[in-house]
Amino acid sequence: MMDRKPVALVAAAAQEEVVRSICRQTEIDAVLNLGRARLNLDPVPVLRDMEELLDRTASGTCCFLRPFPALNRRLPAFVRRKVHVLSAGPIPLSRLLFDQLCESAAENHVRLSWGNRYRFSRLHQALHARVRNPGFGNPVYLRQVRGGGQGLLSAWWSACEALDQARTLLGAPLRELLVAASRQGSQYHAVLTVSAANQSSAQLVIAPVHLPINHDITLLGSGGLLFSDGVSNSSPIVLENGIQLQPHTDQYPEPAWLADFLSQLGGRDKPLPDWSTLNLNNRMLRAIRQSLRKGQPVRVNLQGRNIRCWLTA
Amino acid sequence: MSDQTYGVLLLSFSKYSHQASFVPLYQSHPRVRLVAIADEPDIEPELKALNQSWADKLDIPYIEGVDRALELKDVHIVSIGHEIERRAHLALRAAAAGKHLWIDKFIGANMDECDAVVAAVEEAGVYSIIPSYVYGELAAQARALIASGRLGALLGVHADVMFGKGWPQPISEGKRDFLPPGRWKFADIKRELLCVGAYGIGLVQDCLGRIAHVYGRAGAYFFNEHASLGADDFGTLNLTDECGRVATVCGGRVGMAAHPHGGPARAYLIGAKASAAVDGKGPVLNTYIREDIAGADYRLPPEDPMQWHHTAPTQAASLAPDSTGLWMGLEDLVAALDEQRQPAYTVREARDHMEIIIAGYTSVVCGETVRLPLRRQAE
Repeated sequence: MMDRKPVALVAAAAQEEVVRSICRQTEIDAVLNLGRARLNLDPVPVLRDMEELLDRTASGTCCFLRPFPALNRRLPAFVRRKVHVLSAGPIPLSRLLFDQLCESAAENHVRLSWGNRYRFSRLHQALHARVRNPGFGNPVYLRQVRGGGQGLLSAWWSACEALDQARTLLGAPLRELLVAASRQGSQYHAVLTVSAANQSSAQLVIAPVHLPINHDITLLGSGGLLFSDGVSNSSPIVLENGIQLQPHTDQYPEPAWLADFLSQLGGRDKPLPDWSTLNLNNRMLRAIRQSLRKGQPVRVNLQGRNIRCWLTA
Repeated sequence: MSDQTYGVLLLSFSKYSHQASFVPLYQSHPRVRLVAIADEPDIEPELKALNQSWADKLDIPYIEGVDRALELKDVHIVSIGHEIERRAHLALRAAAAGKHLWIDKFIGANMDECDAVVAAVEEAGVYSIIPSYVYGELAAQARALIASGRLGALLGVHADVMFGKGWPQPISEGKRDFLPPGRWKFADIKRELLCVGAYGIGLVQDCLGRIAHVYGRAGAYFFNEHASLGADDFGTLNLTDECGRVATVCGGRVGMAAHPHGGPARAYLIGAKASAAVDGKGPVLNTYIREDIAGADYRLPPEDPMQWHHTAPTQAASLAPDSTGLWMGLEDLVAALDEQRQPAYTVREARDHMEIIIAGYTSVVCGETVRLPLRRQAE
């Protein structure tokens, strides 16, 4: 019987529901709480210290559900300790650091992966299946409204995922990307306007506060409309002083996403992240910052040779 | 409170306008009275016949010659429902005659015309209203949410308005080049970023500050009629206001039976503390009557294949007393005349609205973000 390797999560208290959802499916050895609010997952230990997390997960897996500013600096330590890393969003690395990290990961037989969480969402899978139905016709327009959480990096992660999902649903390489953003304090609002090679387009809205799952999606085809809104897909709880929404907990994609990652660790092949994708994501982060500074939309150049792989993937 | 009754002159029942939708309002409002219908002498015979038939139906005179009609002393309000290319000229003459203006959606076909209307209205000291954008359910609910303070600082507004009308066919190969702004009138189609996107733009104007940047995309996705002319049946805009707040808009004619309520009319308000979705079609009673659904008649009226004046079957009954807001608009105009103030949305806002639209179409053509105010040819 193989030794079970430790698995840890990095999350914030606001993600308690999704963490619990993962814990129901996968044995979790520790959770690092990034936020100030308390996270009680008894009997799973909740940590506050990254070093302790590293000690507990050596040769295991760490799954980042929430970004934190020093992640790019801390990541090499995870790789050196032979910790496989799965991250919900990209890590902002320069080309030099990216190459060094990939080299180190290959030497240590460590798997690094980020993004792709949405592919395990039932909503995405249902959309994808229906887009391929001939009755849907050609994709015309995608509107998505989703939460980004607090902070620039959280908004960026959400934007990266929205963009990748848009590319999948529109079914064609992207031709244009326009980024616009506004903020108040640590609350960031980003909007991506996307055009694809098949003339379809998307407007992807990242809100600082939104429902945690089943984002609002409108996908218009020449043959009809696919629409899902998070409110209708939640259970309303009517209280004396208002209404709360309880999402259907089995709708979180994270448990299947993590399980898929873990299931592939036994194999010899340890594919590494793709620089062209990260490069585009990095440029999108710069564009968000630039748009905030200038108060106007910023175009992200998609014509560069170095992102062609991503564009035609 | 004043009890004066205001007389209304209906300027044309062009098929490119909503004049027919305004008639029941004027008929039912206790302070408004229909006086006459008028139009230019040089209009198409079909339009002349339509105007005459409305006059017969309403039992009011039809006057050939707008200037003659504007001399009527008992006309206080001129309701302009002509095609977009004629509206500015009519508005200028009506304002010069001292008449107040109710104008359907657009005050002119280009910026020169719009500026001229604004100047004429302000110089004449008459009151004006464009009732189409800020009185409806979508804008009213959005405004109430923003005013409640529950969203925190407003960071962005995003609106999707689509008309589930017409019967799309696969677009055949060989689209024509996209037409620049200014060419609006066609026999059987409308440019839909103009006609449907206009509602989202009006909402954005109502919620955000002055728009500073516009990026647009549009094309023909549903109808060969649009594709063959290089016109748009669907389009999107990305807008930022002078404070850097972000808005997006989509609008188009997307074909019938694609939505239970006849097409989405939805807005997302993104605040620092909360986000909200507003359904402009709500509140509704969802109606899933087997016989109605199974026997729904989706055939197109031969005389109106794009369903400009018809609706496709829906599975909902609106519970909003005034979902389009036209009644509220008329109330505002009557109150404005009583109180000698301008209504909430005047020719000045409509001028800015058209500037956003023209910037959007310009952006589609040039592929770049367009900065407002638009640079004029004379400069």
